[in-house]
Amino acid sequence: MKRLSVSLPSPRRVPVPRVLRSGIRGVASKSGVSVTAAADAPLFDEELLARLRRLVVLSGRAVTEGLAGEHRSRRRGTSPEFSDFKSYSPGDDFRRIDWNTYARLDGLFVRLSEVTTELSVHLLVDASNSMDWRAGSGVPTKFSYGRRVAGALAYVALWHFDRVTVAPFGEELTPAFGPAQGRAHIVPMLRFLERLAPLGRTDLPSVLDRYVRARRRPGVLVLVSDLLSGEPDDIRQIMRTLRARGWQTVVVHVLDEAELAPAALTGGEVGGRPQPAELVEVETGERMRLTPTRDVLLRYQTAIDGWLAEIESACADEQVAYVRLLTGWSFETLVLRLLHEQGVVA
Amino acid sequence: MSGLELLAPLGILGLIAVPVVVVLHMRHTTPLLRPVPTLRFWVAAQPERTEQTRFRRPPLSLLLLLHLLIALLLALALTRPAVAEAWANLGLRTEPRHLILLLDGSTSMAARDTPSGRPRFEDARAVALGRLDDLREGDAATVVVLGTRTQTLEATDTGGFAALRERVRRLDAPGGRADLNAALGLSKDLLLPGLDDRIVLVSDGALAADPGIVAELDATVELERVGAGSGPAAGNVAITDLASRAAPDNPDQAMLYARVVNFSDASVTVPLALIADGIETDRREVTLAPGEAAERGWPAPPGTRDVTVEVQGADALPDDDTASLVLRQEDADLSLRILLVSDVATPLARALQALDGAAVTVEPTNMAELGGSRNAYDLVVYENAAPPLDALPNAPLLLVNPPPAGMPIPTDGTMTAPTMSSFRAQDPLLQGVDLAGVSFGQQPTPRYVLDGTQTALVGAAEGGPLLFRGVLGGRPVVVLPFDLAQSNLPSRVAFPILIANIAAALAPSPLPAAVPLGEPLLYRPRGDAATVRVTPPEGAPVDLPLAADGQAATGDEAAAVDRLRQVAFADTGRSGEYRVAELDAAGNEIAGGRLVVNAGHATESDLRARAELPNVLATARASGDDGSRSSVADLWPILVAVAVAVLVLEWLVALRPRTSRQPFAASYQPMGTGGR
Repeated sequence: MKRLSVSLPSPRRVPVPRVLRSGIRGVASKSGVSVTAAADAPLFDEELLARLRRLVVLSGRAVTEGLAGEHRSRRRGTSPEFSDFKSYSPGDDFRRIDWNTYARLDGLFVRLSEVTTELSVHLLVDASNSMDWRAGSGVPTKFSYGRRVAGALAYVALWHFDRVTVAPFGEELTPAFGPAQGRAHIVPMLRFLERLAPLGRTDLPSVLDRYVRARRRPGVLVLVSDLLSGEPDDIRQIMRTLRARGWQTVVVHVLDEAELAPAALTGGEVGGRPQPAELVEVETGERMRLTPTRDVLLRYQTAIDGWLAEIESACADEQVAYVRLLTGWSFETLVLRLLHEQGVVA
Repeated sequence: MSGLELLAPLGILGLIAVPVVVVLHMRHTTPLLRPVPTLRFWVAAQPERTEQTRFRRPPLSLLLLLHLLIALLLALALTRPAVAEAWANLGLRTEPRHLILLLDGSTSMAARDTPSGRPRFEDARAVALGRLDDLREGDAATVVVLGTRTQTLEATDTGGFAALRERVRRLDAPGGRADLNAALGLSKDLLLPGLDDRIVLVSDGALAADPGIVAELDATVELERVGAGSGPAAGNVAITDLASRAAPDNPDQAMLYARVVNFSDASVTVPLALIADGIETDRREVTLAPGEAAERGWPAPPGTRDVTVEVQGADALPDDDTASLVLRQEDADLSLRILLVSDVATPLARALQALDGAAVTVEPTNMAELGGSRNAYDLVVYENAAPPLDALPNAPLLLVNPPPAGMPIPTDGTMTAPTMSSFRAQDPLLQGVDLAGVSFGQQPTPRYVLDGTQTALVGAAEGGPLLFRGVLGGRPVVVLPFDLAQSNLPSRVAFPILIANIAAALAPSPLPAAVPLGEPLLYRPRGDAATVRVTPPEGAPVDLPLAADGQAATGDEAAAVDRLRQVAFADTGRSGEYRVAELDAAGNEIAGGRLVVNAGHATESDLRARAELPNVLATARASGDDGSRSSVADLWPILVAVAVAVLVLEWLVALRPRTSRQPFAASYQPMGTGGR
């Protein structure tokens, strides 16, 4: 697997878009964009943006293309960046013949220069109702957290002139942002994410299938979702399809901590007795009444642990990078570190 | 009532709450609505199917048990359970109460047959104080102390209760005889509508109650009995009477008669001693069967002033083992001093001398000028002589056959062999006097013409009075206008009675030698006395003021004044020697004497409780089934209090802090596996 990791320290200081600074400082900007994950937490601050600017989305096996990007390519072209010489062959552009070499060696050699390409980054953001949920007021919803992750990755890609598509989806694909390329699209991208709203129910396998079928060239596909739509086998199947089509897939699994600690989802105990609760699924409105006894909670724990294990297994089998994020985690440290460890960014 | 009683039995319907509580616990608690991102894992957790049903099996939880206990307590409280008197001291009474305590302070309450050896009255006082301790704000209390004088104490608030308890604590037994019927009648008037009236008789039970009076009481009557009540401990031998009379065969010899009664259930033989002026002069054994009374007599030693008869031997009431009598006042100042102005020793003189406590001085008619001694007599009798109208003695007058010429009352001829034609039967002078067959002599009798100031008591067919009274020179006067020597009246039984009535009506009373226990001392002092001072055996002197000396113009007014000048001293419940002194307006003692009140009494000396008394008291109107409610204490307040306490406990159990679970995040390690 070819891994192109190009770290691009910013050659010049690019000012943070005003809209982002406003969002960071919590001051309403003229554009009205205020991307925050939580009410008080800024989405990106200057320090985080600086860290993001030092990152690059790794292409993995994804095919790079074009010439506008900063990803190094095996292709040789006509750029000023010298790469190598080769013997002249008929058909070569004789304008690239190095006459100095010909004078010394009496042979025709053509100068080869290095070609940089761009990467297509597809960010599929799950906008279902199950994402727009949080157990407590101290943490952002999974939807907010997922948008933040998507925004960060899109920022990194746009900064390095990759082609970025942000595609929210529910049961169907909705109009996406992009493909866009270049730093001028950072602010529109963030506005797009800001304006995203939950879309109700979701059908992850079919949406993914339709999305990849509609793309001729594979790229890096980052799926930001809680994966509650579809069974692990369905996810395994679609990951297999993506792999077969040459997509470099990254699954960012966003979860709320309460989903892993089920006692917090119910009414707890009063007088040593578990309080009955009526659970309402936010997507379907389906209800279930139960008393969270110790046995029930144990079975829940077993079920969710098995589900997570199956998803991890499917991702591992299909060579999909899997990153599980809990909404209560610090974005600047833990999330970026995990993305880096999983080879999503470098 | 012997145990628990439900005053509101329908309250048992409150037990419906018990199954209701169970059903409520069988229902699933209204669940908290919790949105979750997915149900897939909860479905996988396979909640019990009973969660989806309306009811479930009753959970055997502490909360259910506490709720059931609360429901039971409240349901029981609704039935208003009440406990009997034995439990009434719990102080759970909620209805205001009017407690009427009839505290027996009679002489029998001085008996020391209690387990503690204290007098019965001390035990009764303790019982009364205990009853008063139960009172609370809103109640009312009346304490009626039974004895020679009935004393009534009242209190209607907390401060008053404290003062009342203090007064009861300091109360002395008045002694004498307890008139329970009068006390019950008084209690009937004291009942307060709207309050739980309860009459409590604290007594030794040696009382009699009129069932008719008790039946009229609209209140519960309880008997708190003190003392042994029956058995050997309540046995008593008493001297119930001691009197002095002239010997039948020798009028100059005084004879003493004592009556000894055995108020016990066993035969006794006791020594009986006669003590004259402090010296035992006779001793004899007296054997008495149960309930038997024996009379013993002794000639009074000449010159003896005081005699005492004593039964020697320990019994429950020592006070009535002795009886005393004052045979002769030390100075005779309070004897009835009578001056008889007569020239012959007539039956009149004998009748006067027979009066109790009378000292008769006989003067001839030619010595009728009294001079300086005109104030020294209580009654002056002129027989066959006219009083000196210009120098009348300062005393009531009895005129017997006065010469008409010397009388200021006009006459209208004479009556020869008059016969009685009218008789003023209701007049006190004629009480017990039978004049049938009395002749008034053949001699002419003056026919007096009476005016409005005289009243004819016995009228003659001939038109004139044969006995009349009036006022002469401002003195009350009674006139017998006929000659006793010519009449057969002196030989009749009616004569000494008539003379005694006249003396009693005209002259001051002689101080009696003894007064029966509890009987009032009725006494009319001499005219110049302004105050009568009575000093009990153990107590402060009591001054009894008198009305002003009557100089009445009419007979009726004189009679009214005469009644006003009679004093009555009722506090004779304490046995012993009483001293009586007459004081003039300046407070100087002008006369004095002694009298004795003996404790022995045919009723009070019988210390045995009347077996029928509790049954009679139980016939009070409110003592039946309807009235039993007032003698119990409600338990519902304490049941409600316990229910509230259990409720608090239930809250503590329900709201106790949950056992903290280890937070998931503390044990969760971030996962970042994944293939590449």
